[in-house]
Amino acid sequence: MQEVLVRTGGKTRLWPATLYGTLRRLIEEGLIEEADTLRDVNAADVRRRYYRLSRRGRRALTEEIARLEDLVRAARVKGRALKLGESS
Amino acid sequence: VTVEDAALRLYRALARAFPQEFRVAYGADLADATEDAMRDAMLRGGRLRLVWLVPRLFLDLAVRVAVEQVRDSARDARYAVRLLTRAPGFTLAAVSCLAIGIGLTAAMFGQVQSTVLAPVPGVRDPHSLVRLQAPVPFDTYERMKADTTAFAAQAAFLGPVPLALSFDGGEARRHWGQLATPEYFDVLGVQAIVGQLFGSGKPTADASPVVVLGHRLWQTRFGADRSVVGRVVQINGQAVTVIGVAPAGFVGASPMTAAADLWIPTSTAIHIAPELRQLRDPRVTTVVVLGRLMPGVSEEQAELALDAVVRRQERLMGDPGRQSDEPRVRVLPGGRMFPIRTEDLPRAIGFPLVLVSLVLLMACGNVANLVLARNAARRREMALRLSLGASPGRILRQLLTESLLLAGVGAAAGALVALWLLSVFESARPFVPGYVQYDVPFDWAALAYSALLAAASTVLFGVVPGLRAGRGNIQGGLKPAPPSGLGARHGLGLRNVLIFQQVTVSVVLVLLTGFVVVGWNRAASVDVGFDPVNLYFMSVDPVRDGADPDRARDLVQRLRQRLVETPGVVAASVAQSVPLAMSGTEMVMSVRADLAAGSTALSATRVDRVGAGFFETIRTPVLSGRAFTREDERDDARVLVVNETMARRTWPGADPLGQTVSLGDQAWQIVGVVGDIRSAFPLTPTLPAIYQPVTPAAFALPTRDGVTLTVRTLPGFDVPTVLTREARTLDPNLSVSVRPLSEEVEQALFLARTATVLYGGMGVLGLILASVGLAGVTAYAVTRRTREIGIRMALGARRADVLWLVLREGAAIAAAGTVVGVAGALGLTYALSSVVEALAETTRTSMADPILLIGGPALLMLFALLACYLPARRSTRIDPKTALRAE
Repeated sequence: MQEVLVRTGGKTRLWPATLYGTLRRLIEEGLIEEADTLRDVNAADVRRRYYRLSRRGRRALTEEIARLEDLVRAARVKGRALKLGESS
Repeated sequence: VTVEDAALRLYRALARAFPQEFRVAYGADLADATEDAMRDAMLRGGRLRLVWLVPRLFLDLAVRVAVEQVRDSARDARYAVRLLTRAPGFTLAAVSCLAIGIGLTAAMFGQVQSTVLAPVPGVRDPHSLVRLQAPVPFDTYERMKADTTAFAAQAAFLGPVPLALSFDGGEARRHWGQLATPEYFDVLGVQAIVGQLFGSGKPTADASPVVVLGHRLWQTRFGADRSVVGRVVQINGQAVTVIGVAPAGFVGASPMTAAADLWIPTSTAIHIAPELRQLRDPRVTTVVVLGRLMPGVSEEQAELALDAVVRRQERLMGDPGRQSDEPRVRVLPGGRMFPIRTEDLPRAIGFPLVLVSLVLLMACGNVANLVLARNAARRREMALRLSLGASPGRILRQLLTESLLLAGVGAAAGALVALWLLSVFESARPFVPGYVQYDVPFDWAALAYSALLAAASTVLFGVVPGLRAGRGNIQGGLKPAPPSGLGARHGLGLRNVLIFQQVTVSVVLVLLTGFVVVGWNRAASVDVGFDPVNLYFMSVDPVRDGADPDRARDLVQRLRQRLVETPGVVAASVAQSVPLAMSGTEMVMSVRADLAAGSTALSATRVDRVGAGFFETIRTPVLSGRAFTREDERDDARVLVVNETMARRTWPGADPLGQTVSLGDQAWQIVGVVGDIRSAFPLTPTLPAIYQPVTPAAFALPTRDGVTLTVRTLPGFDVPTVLTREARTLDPNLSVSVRPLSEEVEQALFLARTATVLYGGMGVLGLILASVGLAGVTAYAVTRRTREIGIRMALGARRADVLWLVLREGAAIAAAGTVVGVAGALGLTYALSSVVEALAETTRTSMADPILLIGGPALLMLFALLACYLPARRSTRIDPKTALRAE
């Protein structure tokens, strides 16, 4: 939760119940899976459970990034066109 | 304990509201994460920061709990839909049972609500409005008004009376109207929408007669023209001024008798409304009294006050019945469509409601049974799911969802059934005499009530056994069902009780409806005392058609003569009031019979005036003495004919011929005794009746008090056309109406017929429900014993043995249920008969009918056995190999 807050520059706060609700849905949709082994042994906490992206989740993420980039690109082009339109 | 701890503890407690699966998977993590977040906040900003954080944590929790619950429910519902569609037989049976039970209940309650309990349309504050059950003489009404303080206001009216309305030289058309005292509209709380009503304070001068138009009439005949006020129209041929229009929806104070379209003050001259002729006669009951109760005065108090007035009048008049202790008046709620006292409601609606309740009870029992059978068959599924880690709560929830879904679909189908039934009732209405158009509101409350009951039974029986299965040991459920016949009775007790209840209730229902239907048909087929075939009523109304009294008298005499001479006419006679017609005038008078030993007062005697040849025409036998001749049709004739009942009751064992009877202050001599004529509703007992000869003066009176010609013809020709043609040759302007007596009889029997269809229908429904239930239980028995049957067949059992094995259980329950049902039906009929008089009258003979008592249950047993046999047949087709491999 802390990490989300930091990563989004304090804009998005992930509340605990929402977090677990989201985790459940992601698992149900097969986008993430519970990790058996820990990548970062130092951060390991016996109480904690770790999740990682599944293969399907990784593919979905890649596609989503591509989609959002396309969207941003399209918006920028449009924005430039608008600006040009205003100046002329 | 710190505040943080308390908050955290509360959070954990609330988090239990998550669905079980979620709780198991994430509950601990969630609590940890929340604790972390709180500790973190404390470290950064102390308590102040917590104040900011904690509410948001709880909000987050609340939203998520709701979301997860909805998601789970949706999943349950999807699963339930899949299960139900996979078992279409079960679903169809359960839904149709629910639909029939719920639909019938809702429709019946709706019907009762909109007829019996509905307020009279258009009146203000119907609860404080009362009316007297029987009409009283106008004189008595005036005394009541002067001498009682129980009422804020009182009014009286007379009607329905036919009024012929014409204007601008157009055609005269007849409408039902009422003759009312000036207070009429004030008491009812009705305001004019155009002009004024005649009670509005300004006394109307007798010189200019006035009329108030009903809204419907104003729209249809005057095109809703507001300038109608002040216009002069013709009523019964006389000029009358329109003073106002009543509001839409208002059709008079007694809409069930007839909807009124016109109102004329009772102060109007007699030649406009001849019905007023006897208004001032203190011995003739003419007007219905309405009253607006004073606040705080009960109906009983008002009744006592009015009773005292009537007794005083009787003393003044020297009434022969004045010593009697019987109550003289009966106050009824005047604001109800059916003026029935609240305590009498069970009499009016008790019986149909008991029947409906029985059907609903059967439907609920049926569904319970079906659900039980299904869940018993699913024991393995439940056990499997439990062993795979599903919690009992989870399974409970699933069962609950299924039950609710079933009940919901059943309720929706029930609503459709109810709407359909209501439309059937609606279309049947126009046959009811005195029909009034009003909307039958769909009774949502009754629908909700019956749906709730059905849902409760579905849930109760769908979930409770499931709960037991959940608690029971998993191993037992997983094991193949034990070879039954050895120890498999377990769990069937409740089901047997249910099926027993089912058969019992259906026997009760079938017998109860049977008693009524047979009883009614028997009542309807009794000898009516005359021969309605080829008998016609012909009513002419020369006075209303504009003839003066002398001419009218002459016209009727000549018409009678002409009809007798018409080819095809066997006999023709006149009568001033017709004792055969259900809608005829019924005058109940107190008369005194002068006996050798003194005199005795007779009450509740029907008095009719008939002409020469009347009894011959209608073919009622003259038992002794003679019938009337033309010579008796004089103003000073003092001869009477009485009916058999009167003769038997008043002069038991003596010859009534030559006896005298006092009517008013004149002595009349009995010259003949005729057979009883059954009139009105077939169930009402025959009253003593007195027949007086018609007088020529009556020929000049308008229809309701005037004459009707009774004509017997030969069969096989168009009687109305011929008779009308004959009448028109005498006077081309004469309006003539000819109707066959058989039609009147039909109308009188309409109620009985409706009841036959309605109650018979309920009986059939009950039979269907019971059969479905029995078929269900047998089908289940077959499934349960597949393995056993396979073994038996492998060991060489014959088909008949197997069939008997399976049928035995159903047959035994059906037999026991039938016996108890017969006893129950008889008991219930006795019990109901003591409350509902009409029922006692109807079922008096039919209750002992051997065909019904033996045939009804036998038929039901036959159905029951068939219902058991059809699924049982399947057992004989079981292939031993397959059966043994099963499980």
